[in-house]
Amino acid sequence: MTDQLCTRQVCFIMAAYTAAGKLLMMPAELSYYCGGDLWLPALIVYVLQVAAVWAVAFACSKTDKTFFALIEGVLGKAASKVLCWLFALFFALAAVLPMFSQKLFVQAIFYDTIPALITFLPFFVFSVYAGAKGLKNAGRVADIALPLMGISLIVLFAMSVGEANVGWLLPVLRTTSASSVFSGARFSLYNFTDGAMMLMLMGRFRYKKGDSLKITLSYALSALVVLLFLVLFYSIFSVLSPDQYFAISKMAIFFSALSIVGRVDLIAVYAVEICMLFALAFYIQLSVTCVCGALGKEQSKGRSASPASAVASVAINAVLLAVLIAFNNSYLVVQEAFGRFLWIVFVLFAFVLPPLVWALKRGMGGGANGKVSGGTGKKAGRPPSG
Amino acid sequence: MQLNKGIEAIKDVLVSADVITYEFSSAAGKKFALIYVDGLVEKAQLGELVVKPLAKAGKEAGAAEVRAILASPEVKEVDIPSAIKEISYGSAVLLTDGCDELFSIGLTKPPGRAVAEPPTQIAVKGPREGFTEDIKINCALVRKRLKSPDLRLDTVRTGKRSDTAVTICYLADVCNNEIPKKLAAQIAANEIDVVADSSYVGRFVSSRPRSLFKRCATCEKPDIFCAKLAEGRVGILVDGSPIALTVPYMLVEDFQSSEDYFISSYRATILRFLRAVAVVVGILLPAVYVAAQLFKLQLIPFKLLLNISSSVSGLPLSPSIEMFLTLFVLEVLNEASIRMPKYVGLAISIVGALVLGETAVNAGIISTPAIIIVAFSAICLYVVPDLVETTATLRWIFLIIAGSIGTFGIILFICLLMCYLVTEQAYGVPILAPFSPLIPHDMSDGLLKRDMFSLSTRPAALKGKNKVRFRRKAGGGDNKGGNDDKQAAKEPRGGEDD
Repeated sequence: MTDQLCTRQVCFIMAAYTAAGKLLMMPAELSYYCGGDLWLPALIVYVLQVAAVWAVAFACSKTDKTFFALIEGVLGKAASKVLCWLFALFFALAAVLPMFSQKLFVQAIFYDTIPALITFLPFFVFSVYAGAKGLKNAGRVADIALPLMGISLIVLFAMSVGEANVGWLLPVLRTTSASSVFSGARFSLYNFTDGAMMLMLMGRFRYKKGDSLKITLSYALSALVVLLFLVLFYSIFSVLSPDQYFAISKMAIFFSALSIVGRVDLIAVYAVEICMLFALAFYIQLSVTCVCGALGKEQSKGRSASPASAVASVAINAVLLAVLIAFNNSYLVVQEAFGRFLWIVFVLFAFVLPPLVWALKRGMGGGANGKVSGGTGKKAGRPPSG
Repeated sequence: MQLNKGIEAIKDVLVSADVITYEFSSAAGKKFALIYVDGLVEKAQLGELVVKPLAKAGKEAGAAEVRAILASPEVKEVDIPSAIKEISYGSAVLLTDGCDELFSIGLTKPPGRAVAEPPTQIAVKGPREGFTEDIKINCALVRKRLKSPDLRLDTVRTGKRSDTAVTICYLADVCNNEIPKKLAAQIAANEIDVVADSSYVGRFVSSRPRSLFKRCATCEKPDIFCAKLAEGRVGILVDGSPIALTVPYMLVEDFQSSEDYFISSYRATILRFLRAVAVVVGILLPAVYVAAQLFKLQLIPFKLLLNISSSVSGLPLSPSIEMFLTLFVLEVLNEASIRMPKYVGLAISIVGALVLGETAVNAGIISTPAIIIVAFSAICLYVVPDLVETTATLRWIFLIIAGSIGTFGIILFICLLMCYLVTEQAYGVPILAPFSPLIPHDMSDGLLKRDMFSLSTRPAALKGKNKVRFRRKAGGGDNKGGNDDKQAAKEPRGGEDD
C-alpha cells in the first residue's frame, strides 16, 4: 500500500471532484431528454454508481492492495500492465468532454465577448503541473476544495432558491416517457466515472473500520447535492432549461440584491470553478498515475514529481490539447460521439469493473475475510508503480 | 614565556590598530599585559577587577596566584590560538611575564542598543520588549521567560570571517528533537564569509531557499518566540540580528498576532479573518480591477461602473498599463520612504501624495479609482507585515496575468499556487496546515481562535512530544469551557496523510 491519502481525503475527493464536473452541461442535457424529470435519470445512474463506489470501498476493508496489485496477483503482471494502460486511456478520454465544457464555460463566463481559444490554453500549464503531482497532491487540494465548493454552493443555492418554483417538476413523469428517462440516463453516462475513480483510490489509504460507509455516504451526499442542484435548476428555468448551459453561473442571476451590489454571485461561481478545474485535472492525475504504474516508474520523488510522471503529464496534456484544437468548434459532435457511442466504455470502466473487484478474491490474500496486513502483505500489495 | 614574545605571537595575527596592548606592572615589579579590542571591552571594569588587584601581585607571582587574584567565573585559561579568538569575540587576554598561561577575561561589552519595542511587532496589549542585536541579551530575554530546565540553548558558529554565533533554542521535552540536530547540521553545512543577518541562516535551513514562500517564521519579540518554543517549535537566534527565526513554519502563523492571545477570543477570531481577507484583497484587487475593465465589466456594480467610466474616459493608457504604472509609483515611493533620511522622507510623502497623485489625475494620466485601488491594496498587504515580501510579489504576478488573460488567468494562477503550496513543507510540517492537510484539532488556533481553556493541547501538526500544555486542577473554578484531565490527555491527531 502506498498510503498517499487518508480516509478523509478519499471522502473529500469522492464528494467534491465527482460533483464538480456535473454542474456545467449535465443539467441542460438531462432537461433536454426528460424535462422536469431530469433528476430521474441522474438518480438511476447515481444509484448504480453509489453501489459501485460501495463495492470498491467495501473491498478496501478486505485488502490493502491497489486495484492493479490485485489484478497482478490474480491475472499476472502482463494483465495488470494492460489494465494500467487501458485505465490511463480511459481517464484521458474521460477528461475530453469536461475539458470542452470548461473551455466553453470559461469563454462564456470569464469574458464579455467570446474570446479566441488561446485564452483557454494556459489551462494546460496548470494541468501539466497538477497532473505530474500525483494523488497525494489531489488529496491535499481536496481538503481545501471541498469546503470552498460547499460554501460556494450554499451561497448560490441561497441566492437562487427564491426564484425557484418546484411546481414545474410536478407531477413526476407527467410528460416524460420511461424510454426518455433511460435515454437521458444513457446519454449522461459519460459524466459518471466515479466508480472508476474509487477503483484508483483503492489501496491508497489506510483503511479503518467504518471507512467504507464514510466513503459511500460522502459520495451519496455529493449525489444528493447534484440532484438538489438539478431540481433547483429546473425549478428556476423550467422549459428554458435545455438551452441553459453553464447553469451554475446563471442560477443566482435573478437575485434582487445583484442589481445593487453587482454580480457578487460570480465570486461563488469562480470558487466553484476552482474546484471544477481541480476535478478536471484529477482525471489527468489519475491517467498519469496509471501510465507510471504501467511503466513501473515512481510517480514522485519526495515532494517533487518524478521525470516519468512529468513526461506522462506533458504527453497526456499534449494529446488533449491536440483534440481540443482539432474539435474546437465541434463540441456537439464530440458530445454526440460520447453520448451515442462511447457510453459503453464508461459503463465498462465505471459501472462493471468496480463491482468485479469482488471476483478477485484470490488476490485479496486468503479470501474475502483474509485482510492482508504486515510487512509481506504490504510488499506484495505494491502496485506496479512501486 | 617572556611577555614580549607572547604579545608578539598575538599581535602577529591580530595586526590591527584597534587591538590595544596595555602593559603594566605590579608594585613589586611583576609585568603584565592586557590585549583587547578597543570598544568591545568594558574598560572601567577591566581597571577595577583586573589591573587594580594585579597591582598588588608579588614579583614571583605565578599562574595560580594570578588566577586566585582574578577570582571570577568569567576568567579562563587559554592557549594562544584560543586567546586570539577570545580577543576577536571581545574578551581581554592577560599575559604574565614569566608565565606560559594566558587568561581570557570575559568583560565583553560590545556597543549595542538597549532592549526596546520592535517597530514591526507593536502590541497595544501585552509585553513590549523586543530582541536586540546582541545574542547574549536575546538569550537572557528568552531564559527570563522560560525558566524551565528543559530549555536548551545550543550554540553553533557560522561564517568563515564573521564567525557569527547562532543559538538554537528549544524545549527538549516538547519539541521533536530531530529538528535541532538537523538545524545544526544544515547551518554547519554552509560555508560563507559573513552572516550579516538571521535571514542568511533562514536560507541555510530552508529546504527550498529560492522559493517565493519562506520556510522560517520570523519574530522580534521574546514573548512570541517563547510561546512558539512552548508550542513545540525550535527557535534560532543569530548574533547581530534582532530578528529571531522559528521552525517548523506554517503560513497561518503570519496571520496570528501576539495580541490575539491577550484579548477576547471572539475579537481575535474576527481580527484573524480580517487579516486573511485583507491579504487576499491586497493581492487580488488591482488584478481583478484590471481584468474586470478589460474582459468582464459585469464584475463591477453598474453604478460604480458609471463612475469608473467617467474617470477613465479620455485616459491615454490602457487599464493594465495604468495600474502597472500606479503600482510602480507606489513601490518606488515605498522604497524611497524607507531608504531616505527621515526629514527627506516627509518631503517624499508630500511629493508622492500631492504632486504625483493629485497632479497625475488632473493631468489625465491616471484615474482616481486606480490610485484608490493601489493605495488600498498597499494598506491591506501591510496588515500582515511578515508576508509583505511574498504578497507584494504575488500582486505583480497577478496583475500581469490579469492584464493578459483576465479573470480566468487569476483563477488558474490561484489553482497553481494551491497545487504548489499543498505539498510544500518545512521540517515535515505542511506549510498550509491546518487547512491542508486538514487538522481539525489545530483549527481552533488557526484562523479561528478559541479561548485558552480549549487550547489545552499543543498543535498536532508539529508532531512534538508532551502534547498537553494546559491542565486545570480540581477546584480550579466552574468554567465550563475549561478542560478536565481526560480532555487534556486526549491526544490530537496530526496530518494523517504524512
